[in-house]
Parts: sequence; structure tokens; C-alpha cells
Amino acid sequence: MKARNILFALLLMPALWSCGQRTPTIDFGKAECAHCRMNVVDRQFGAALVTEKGRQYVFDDVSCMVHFVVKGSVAEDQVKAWFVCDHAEPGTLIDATTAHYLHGAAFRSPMRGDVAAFANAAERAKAAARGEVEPMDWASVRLQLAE
Amino acid sequence: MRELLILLLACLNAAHVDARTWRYRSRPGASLQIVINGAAVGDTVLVEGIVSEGSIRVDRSLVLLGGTDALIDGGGEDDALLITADHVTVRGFTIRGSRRSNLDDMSGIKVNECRGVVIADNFLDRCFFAIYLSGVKDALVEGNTVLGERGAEDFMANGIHLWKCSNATIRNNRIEYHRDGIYFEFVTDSRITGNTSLHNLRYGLHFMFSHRDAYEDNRFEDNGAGVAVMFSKVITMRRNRFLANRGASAYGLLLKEINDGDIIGNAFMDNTTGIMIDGCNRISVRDNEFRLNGWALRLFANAIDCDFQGNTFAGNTFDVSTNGSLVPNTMNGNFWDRYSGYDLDRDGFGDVPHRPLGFFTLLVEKQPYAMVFSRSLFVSLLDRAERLIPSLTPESMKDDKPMMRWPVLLGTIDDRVEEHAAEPAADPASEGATGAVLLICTIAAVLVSRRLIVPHD
Repeated sequence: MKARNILFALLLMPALWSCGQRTPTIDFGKAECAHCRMNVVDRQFGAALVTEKGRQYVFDDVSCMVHFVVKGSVAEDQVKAWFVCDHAEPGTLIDATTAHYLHGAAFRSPMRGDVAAFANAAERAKAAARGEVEPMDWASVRLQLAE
Repeated sequence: MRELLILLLACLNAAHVDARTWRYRSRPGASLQIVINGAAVGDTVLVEGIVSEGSIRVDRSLVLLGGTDALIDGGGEDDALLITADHVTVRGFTIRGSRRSNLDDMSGIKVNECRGVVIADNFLDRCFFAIYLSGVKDALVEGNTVLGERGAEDFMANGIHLWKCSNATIRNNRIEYHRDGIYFEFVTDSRITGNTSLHNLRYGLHFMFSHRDAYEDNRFEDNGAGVAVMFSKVITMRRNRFLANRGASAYGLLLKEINDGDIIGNAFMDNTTGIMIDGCNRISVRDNEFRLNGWALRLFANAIDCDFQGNTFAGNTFDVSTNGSLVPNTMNGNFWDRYSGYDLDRDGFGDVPHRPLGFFTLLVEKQPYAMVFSRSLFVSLLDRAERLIPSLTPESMKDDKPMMRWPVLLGTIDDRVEEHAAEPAADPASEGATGAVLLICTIAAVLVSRRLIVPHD
């Protein structure tokens, strides 16, 4: 009996591991933005969030993700993790709260949020040289886009 | 008098002679850019052969004519052809080799800040953006073929892309394998007619923040979704065909936050969802055909004052679906193939209202996984019961004057769809057999349920 319990536990373990928090993936070209219903195709501006319950939502623009929470489709305190696509590494999701941002008309994102995220400050500095952009952090991005 | 006339004609001729035609034939050492730079305003440059000297720039009003095998190859440097002057015509070229860059919007033909450009009868071969108009007035884009790279749509940008333009005409083009076939952002007072948009990754046609535009007589087939009209006002949509746009998030037509639209005489066939209406006001949907779709119409409860009249709903899995109860919209005089009423006064309209919103439709909207019970006996029984004694379906959602006969078809159906429509007629023998099986199943179900209800001691 005991051996069977152990076996059962062993079988269950991979399933439990998979419950841990992972970076979500966006199925580009097929996924639908949870906020604006557009197909998510632009690998440079995609975003995603994970709720406390483990549910994942994907967005085609950071502005959609911010509006989604502002409008209460998911309550602020239910959000466990925020992700954005790295503009320098299209399609790669990074932690939104620590990313480095640029805002400006030089970036034409699908829903006109016009905010690009970068994993490191050096890449951001390189993109900022193009002009017409304003550096931001996560808090100011949320303020800017929530309007 | 006669002399005067001759003098006048001579003057006209002289003016005409002023505009010269330059002939450029590609050979080692020749440069099209130098010919263009040497030409005067109003001149014509006839190009023959392959031009592969990198990005070509046109900064004065010229007519560029493509002659034998005229091809402009940008060689992967920036835009293949960049136009920055008023009244430039580009006709009859093959254009390829624009740089692929997400940061700089590189394109086959880019037109910047000018008016009166004509882009006609060109072939755009695997350019990143194909035709890109930015800040252009009175443009005509006609008869072009725009082909992206099959299987690599992810890395293609839009086929015909307009940004902050007005009074443009996009006519009789064919666009395939791009991200969006035609994309309008901040474009006003423009017309899109007679185009064919196929196999695009996202949308066949996409409007964002664009007002007072019309699209008519186009065909949108097998795109991620047919057409998306978002955050726009006063858009007219007539006689278009939305075919085979399929997938979990695929729509024939997606309307999001738009006001005052007219959707008249279109055909929606073989789509996952025919029309999705989300957050729209004052949309008039008249004389359209919805056939063989999964959902013909998904009307969200946040839509207000939308009017549905004279539409044909036939062969759809669900005719109308909604996600709430308050539906301040009107629905009258449509044809429903599910209508089972009668017409005693013979005025051509049914005497009892038709409620297109079934019990199962509502269930699926709330619990999508309930779809596994689609077309099951139990669900069809529940649906029938709900139809007799409505308790869940919203009262306002009904057609008081359903048409008894099929309206005259609008001639928008192509052969492919007619092929679908010609379903084999059920032969009486098999129908009888099905009836018998159904009867036996019902009796079995009743017996089983009695068995379940009888209390155990």
C-alpha cells in the first residue's frame, strides 16, 4: 500500500511541477487579444499577464493589458505577473515591472500605445538614439497608458 | 481666323513637346537615378530591363513607365522606390528587394507627404510593406498584384498600407500572403473597391481610427479574419464577399467600437463567425446573406441601436448569439431557415415572431465547452422546449415579421459556395429509418430516466 502511495506521488510530481509559474507563451498569428479582440501578430509589442489563479491572458499591445486591468476585467490584486515583449528580441516575453521602456510616435504599436519595452538599458539607449522618444519605467508607462 | 486657330494649335503642340520622354535601358554603367535626376517636371521615363542600383528616389513630378521586363530591385537597401513629389505615376513595374525592418517600415513603393500619386498595374514581389502611403492626398492605387512570401507571413508587413491619408482610391488590386492585406490608419474619405484579399495572416482589410470611408465589391477569403473595422465612424460596406475566414478568433467581419456603419448586400459564407459586433452604435445591417457559418451574428449586449432587416440566415450552426440580456436593437423582416411558423394572411411574412436566439446558443456563450453537445438529441429537445415556452432567451430578441420565402439572391455567390449549398436531398427510406432509430432512442431514454427516478428501498 505504501509503495503504491509513493508511486502515485512520483507520478503526480511532474504534474505539480508544471503548475509552477512560468513565462506564458503567445501563439502569434492565432492568439486573440483579450482586450481588443485583434489577432496578436506583432512580436515587438505583444504582452501577457498571469493571474493568481494561474490564468493567462495575452494582448497585442501593452496599452491593451493596462486597459484590461484598469477597466476591471481582471482586478489589480488578482494579477500575479506582467509580461511584455522585448522590442530588441521580438517575441521574447520579459518581466514588465523591471523592463526599460520608451514611449513615442517612432513606435507604431498595433493599438497605438506606442510603448516599446527593452530587457536591458543598453538596447534601450540604442533605440532612443532614433529620437522622438521618451524613456519611462513601468509605473509611468501605466500612468501614461491608463488615460 | 484660320491663322489664329493654327497658331493656337501650334502653341498647344509646343506645350506638349515640352514634356519629353526619356528612354532608359539597363546596361552596365547606366543609372536610372541619374536619368530621373536629369528629367524635368512632367517628363516621362520609360524603363526597360532590370534596375538594381539600390533604392530609387523620385523627388519631382514624373511618369515612370515600365516597358519590357521592367524590374526595380532594391537589393535590400531601404525602400525599393521612394516617392516624395506630387503627381508621380508609377505604372507597369515589377518591384522587389525592400529591406525587412520592423523599426523603419521599409517598403516596395513608399510615398511620403504629397498628393495625386498614381500607382497602377505593378507587381510587388515579396516586399516587406508592399505599397506604403504616408500623409498622401488623392492617391490612386489600381490594378496592382501584391504577393508576400507564402509560409512567412509572420515576417511580412502589410500589403497596401495607408497612414494619415485622405481621399484615396484603392481599386482592383489583388493582395496575398501579407500581415494585413489593406490597412487604413487615420485615413478619411476614401474608397476601396473591387479588390481581392486572400491568405493574409491577420486581416484582409483593417480600419483603425478612420472615418467616412467605403469599401464595396471586394472579396476577402481565407484570412486570419476577413475585415476588422475598429474605432472608426461612418463606414459604408456594400456587396463584399467574406468567405472561409476560419479559426478560434476568426471573423468574417469584426466591428469594434464603431458608430454609424452601413452593412448592405454582403455575403458571409463559411466563416467561423460571420459578423461580430462589439461596442457599436447605429449599425444598419440590411439585405445580407449569412450562409453556412458557425455563428452568423454575434451581437454583444453593449451594441446599441443596431438594425437588422432583410437578411437571409441559412445553414448556420447558430444564427444569432449574445452575451447579455439587454439588447436595445431591432430585428425585422429577415429570412430564417429555422422559422417554423405560418402565414395565414398570406402577406409573405410569418404571423408569429421568430426567436433566433436558442437556448443552446446562450449556453455555449456562457460555457464554451458545452459545444461538445452540439447537435445531440438532448440539446435539440431542450431547444425545442425553450422555443415553446421561452424562459431564458431575451424577450426583445425576436423578429416580428420573419419572411416566409427566400429573398432573391443577391448574385454575390460564387460557384464554390453553390457547390456547398447543393446538399444531397435526404431520400425517404433513410429518413424513415432515422425516424425509427430516434423513436427507439427516445423510448430508451424515457425508460432509463424512469429507472433513475424510481427510489431504491
